[in-house]
Amino acid sequence: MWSDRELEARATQILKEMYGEEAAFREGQYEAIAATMKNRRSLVIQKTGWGKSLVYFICCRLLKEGSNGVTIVVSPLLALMDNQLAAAEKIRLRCGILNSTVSVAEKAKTFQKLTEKELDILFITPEGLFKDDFQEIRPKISVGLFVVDEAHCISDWGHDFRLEYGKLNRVISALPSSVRVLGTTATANDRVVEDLKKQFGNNVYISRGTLLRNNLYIQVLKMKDRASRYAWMAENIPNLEGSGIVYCLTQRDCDYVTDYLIKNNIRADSYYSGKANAEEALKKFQNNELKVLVATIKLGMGYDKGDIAFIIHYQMPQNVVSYYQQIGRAGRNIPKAYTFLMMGQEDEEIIEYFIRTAFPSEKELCEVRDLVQEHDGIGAGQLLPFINAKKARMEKALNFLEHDGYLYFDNGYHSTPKPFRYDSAHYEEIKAIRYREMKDMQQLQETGCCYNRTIINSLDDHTLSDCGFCANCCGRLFPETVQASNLEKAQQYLESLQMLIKPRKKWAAIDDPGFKELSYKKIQYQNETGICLSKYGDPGYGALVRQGKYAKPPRFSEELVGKSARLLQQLIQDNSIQYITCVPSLRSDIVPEFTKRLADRLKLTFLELLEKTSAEPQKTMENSSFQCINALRSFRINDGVHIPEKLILVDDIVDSKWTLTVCGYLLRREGCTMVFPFALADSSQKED
Amino acid sequence: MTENSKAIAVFCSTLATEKELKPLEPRKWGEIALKLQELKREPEELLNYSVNELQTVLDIPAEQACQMGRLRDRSAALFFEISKYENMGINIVTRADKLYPVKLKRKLKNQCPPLFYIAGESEILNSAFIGFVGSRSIEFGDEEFTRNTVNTVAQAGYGVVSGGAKGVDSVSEDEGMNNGINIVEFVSDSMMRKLRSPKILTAVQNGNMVILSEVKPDAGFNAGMAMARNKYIYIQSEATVVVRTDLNKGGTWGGATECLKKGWVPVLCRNKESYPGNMALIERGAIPIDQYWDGSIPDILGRNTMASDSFVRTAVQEEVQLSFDGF
Repeated sequence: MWSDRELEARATQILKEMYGEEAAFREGQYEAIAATMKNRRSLVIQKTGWGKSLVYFICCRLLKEGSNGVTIVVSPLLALMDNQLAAAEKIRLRCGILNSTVSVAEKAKTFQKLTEKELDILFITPEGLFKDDFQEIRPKISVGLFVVDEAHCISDWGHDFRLEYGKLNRVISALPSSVRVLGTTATANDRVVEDLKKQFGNNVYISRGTLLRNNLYIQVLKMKDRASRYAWMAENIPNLEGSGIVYCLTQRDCDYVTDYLIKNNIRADSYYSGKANAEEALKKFQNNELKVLVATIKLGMGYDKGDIAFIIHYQMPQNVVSYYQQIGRAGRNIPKAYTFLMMGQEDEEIIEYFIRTAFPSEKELCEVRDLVQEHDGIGAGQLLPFINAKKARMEKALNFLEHDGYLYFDNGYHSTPKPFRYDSAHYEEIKAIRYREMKDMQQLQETGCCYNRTIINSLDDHTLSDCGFCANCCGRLFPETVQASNLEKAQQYLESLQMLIKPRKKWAAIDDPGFKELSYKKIQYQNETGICLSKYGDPGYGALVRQGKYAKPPRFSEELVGKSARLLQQLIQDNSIQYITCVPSLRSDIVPEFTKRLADRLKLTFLELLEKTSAEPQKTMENSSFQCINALRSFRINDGVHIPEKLILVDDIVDSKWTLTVCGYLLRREGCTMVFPFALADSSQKED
Repeated sequence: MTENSKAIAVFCSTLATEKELKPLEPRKWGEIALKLQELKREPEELLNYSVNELQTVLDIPAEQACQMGRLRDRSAALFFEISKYENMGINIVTRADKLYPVKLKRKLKNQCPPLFYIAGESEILNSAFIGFVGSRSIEFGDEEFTRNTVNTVAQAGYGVVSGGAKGVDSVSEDEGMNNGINIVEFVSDSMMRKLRSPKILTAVQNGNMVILSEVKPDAGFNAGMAMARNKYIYIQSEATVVVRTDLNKGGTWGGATECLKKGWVPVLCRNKESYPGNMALIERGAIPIDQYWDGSIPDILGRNTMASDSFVRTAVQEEVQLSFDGF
């Protein structure tokens, strides 16, 4: 190994090979390299663009010279940035990358190179690190340096919970101090740093510099209603140079915003978990074929495009750290980028929902673990018929149980010997912190101080000077009002929004002797595509639906009847429909009463065709299996009724669609040929 | 894990090894441990030596130093494996740990295995146990005797230590679980598979059961290992009951005669004339018991003790024994 002087000389020489004779280390870079090589544990907390990758590239090269093993960089990156790869190649580092987009053949080749010591540096996603195929070759690899990119994720105080980072966290703490570990991040506040110190060992070297990005022009737009925000985007995006991202909190908002931008001749597409063709949209954005990518936080860590010129937050992010990270995507390789923070009146409710549901309850965890223990080797899908919990909740419970060492996955789930303990104090503490962080975010909107400084101060960079270029420092950057015509256009668009109720095609897993033969089968009698008027609770009609349900006595307003009639008119004409019926209820007659008024308005004949038998309220059923079985048990066709050929089937709230599916199934089984469902509001929850 | 413990795992664990790279044999580690004690150095220091330094400091052949260097090179992979098992609730306990079974360390001294894989609350290892050994295939009468004897042992305040195999082992453990007493299993294979039984998991989660394995948790059956772990059962116990043994062959015979020879603990043998192996053991000094045995153990002085006294007795024995507090 080198003496201090030799090390510095050698590192400087490598730097010059990369960037030419004039190149010199930026403040802190050499110190981080030396610490990683000698001290073996280091943590680099520096802003985007500081040159964190330079630190591990040079360490990797030094290790290569001493035949000290391969450098493994765990990173959520989707692709390496070209300029980084070029830098690595200049110092003759042989790079490999393993992520979900790599083909099987490429993967095999990379594995071979690894075991034959023909790679110097491997980039791998946290998921890849724990895959079976990588586990198999691990013993054959000698690791000289272990780099954890976005290291804040391994702290469970971080705002991003990911199971793989939890596992990585445990590996890092287990590694003997002789293995070099370098963590890098741009977003760690004091709390996260303290936590990381525990994993990296207390003698970890910490490199921490200013987080101020001096090319982000931040402006806050105080417009709470949706129409103004829609109008602002349609009016101002065409005036912004280059391409940018619009961040929304929910997938539904992504769809609407994208649709509206496209209607306004702005090239836009959306990106969120589970969206069809999401990767294609990303590629188009990457190739500058789109002006705007509308995304949830799914597009966050690990996404790099050097020339993002603007970032608009249609809704407020959950906390300032996320905000800093999201706007940090902008202006990497360009001199100037604009960021606009809008905040809706709906934000708080959405974020509170995220916070409230972030952790599984003790009951959920206990139930899931007991079930796995009873049914050793069970798969996630097989659990649903046993447990009345939403699929997403159950999966969350499985993830938490695995993370905390109560379950493990190996061809199915298995219980571990660890005695169960619900750490409610821990979860409550995190929730409290998250509420506080939301308040901080709200305060950022109100502040009259420098935005850049306020943001980095709340990340514990206690800089005292203002940036001098944000909207608070130098006055308005872009207009904060919209033209009346644009506002009107946006209002009309939002007014016209309706949702389709797509028919269910397959029965759920059914564990009931009466209906067992249907389990997982194709539904023989399906509904037509129907219409839903609003999203439950949303400003406008969604709020009217909620008001109606909670009115005393419950009653839906004439406005809802009128709007529903307008929505259904075309459908009735196109299909020559003459009859309307509704989903019966044992508890209230709000739906039949509404349907009768709607029938009058539409000049349809109202029929009472269905009977509700005593079953549990559908809204207490938490997953598809339970909802499906409960709906099947709940309804029958009234005796002696005449079933018409075509029908509109009305309900107030649609969530899982099992009630509408089962009612339609029964009606069609008795001779109806087309059933068109209609609901006032959709209460299903889909979010990233 | 402490750094010393991590170092022992690096050199002695079979995890993340392959055909061309074997861990140090327990005996080799024993030699290094003595050397370290002599030099007043700690195992963790070995992680930072060059291969040359390893060779000269430890005075070992170049080949062995090389092997140790390669074992160290795989550290990252090894600790991925270890943490995988930790996530499954299986930890490693080494001779450098306080939680290492203390009775083994005292009686086997430098011969005790460098590490065990362990599941459960290891504190219960400090309570008093009666061992149960016997053949894998048993008849109804053997099972009945075993269950009765476990009940007696439970009444007397002892736990059960056994080997987790079929036959006598699993019957004694099962009856122990029914009684809710402490159970220790020294398994010689398939630790992970054991931990998939809901009944065993519940006992471990409730803190009543500990499973230890000298071989890695997914190892298959190996006759040598099955033989080697017998002595851990005897040593962990205050006395061990031989339910049924073959004569002059098999693991039960081998284990019982070894214990009689070494005098680790009293061997209690079911007194049944139709079992020639049992009768031969009694002839060689095993104490005969039958279904009327009351759970007391005759000690060397001829006094009968119950479990409550056994701590006193262990303490007395400790004083006369040289302690081994190496790695």
